Amino acid sequence: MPVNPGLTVTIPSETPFFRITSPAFYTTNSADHRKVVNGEGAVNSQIGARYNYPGVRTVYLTEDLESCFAERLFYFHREVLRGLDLLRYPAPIPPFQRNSILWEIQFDYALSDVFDACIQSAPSYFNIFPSLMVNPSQDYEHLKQRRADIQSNGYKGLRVPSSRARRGGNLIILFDDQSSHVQSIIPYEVEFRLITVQGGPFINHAQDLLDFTAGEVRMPWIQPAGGSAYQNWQRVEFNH
Amino acid sequence: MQVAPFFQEDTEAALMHQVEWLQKYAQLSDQFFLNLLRVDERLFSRWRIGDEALSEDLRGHLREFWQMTLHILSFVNFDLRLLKMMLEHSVDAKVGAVSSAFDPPWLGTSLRAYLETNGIAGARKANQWVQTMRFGDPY
Repeated sequence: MPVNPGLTVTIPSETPFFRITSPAFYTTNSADHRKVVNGEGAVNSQIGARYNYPGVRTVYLTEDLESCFAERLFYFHREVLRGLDLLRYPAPIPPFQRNSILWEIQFDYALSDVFDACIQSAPSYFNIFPSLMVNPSQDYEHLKQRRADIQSNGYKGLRVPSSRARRGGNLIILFDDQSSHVQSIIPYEVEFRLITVQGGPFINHAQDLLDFTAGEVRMPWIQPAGGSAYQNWQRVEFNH
Repeated sequence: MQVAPFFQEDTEAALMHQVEWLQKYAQLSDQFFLNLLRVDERLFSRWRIGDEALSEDLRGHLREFWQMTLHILSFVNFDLRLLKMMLEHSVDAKVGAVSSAFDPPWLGTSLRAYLETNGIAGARKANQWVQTMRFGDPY
């Protein structure tokens, strides 16, 4: 089945995308920063992710800042809760505040043949169940399988709604190594912290009640265009 | 907050820096690496000073071990005190009588001892565990 141009989106070169990684990628050698978009993490992953089986190269990006933060907060919450569950052994308490690196990335070419699952009729074209695409609570084998099918039909990527972003926002999921197509890649230091249902910082796991649908984000030093509000702690809501 | 280039490189020199970093900050000894890699002491010592090369297999094992370390570092927010706790803390096997997808593979011992006993196969299981904790769905 050839690529259906009516169900694709072409994203112009130099469009900014966002991605968050561990500080381990923020080396003093800026030439290495492009590795953030080589998809190698997915290749080496033993568990896969929302739209990829284990070992399948994939680059996850968002089109906007808030979706990037919402996606990260979802995983941060979940891993802290799992860490707290481990205390039954006992084990070290996982930190309730996390430092990460936000990357603003522009490519030197237009992304074409990206299957746009945000078009209303598109999911049914590849038999994607819309409910599983937008359900935030867990990942699904169905989505990994659908992505594999889409890729085998010649598409270069996938545009899908972020299941965790509360106010809309999309993911761009690319199937190839993009490190040789980086026009610019700018790192921003970003901090995440858990909050209580009262809105204060979550600091005592034995007493505080965690807000499961919001956290706070701060970029105290520099912020990308449109991100000045994050100079101070900013509440970000997400689906859980 | 920036890290040294060897954090993202996999050259022979970078592998040496990674081992040096782990010895300094995670207090892993030469003996630990001998046990992890199942490598001859003389070869490892000569590699450390650049007099001998490791086989491609051994270099691959060091890369996998570094990846596991980076995943744990990210999980503990690069807190070196917590990294050492993760390595040294003995996980009580008696408490978790019913097995869970999130049981650490080193149940009943410490991660460091588990890695020394099980070698690179243990590092793979530990790496899978931390990835599952962070990103996986056990359902």
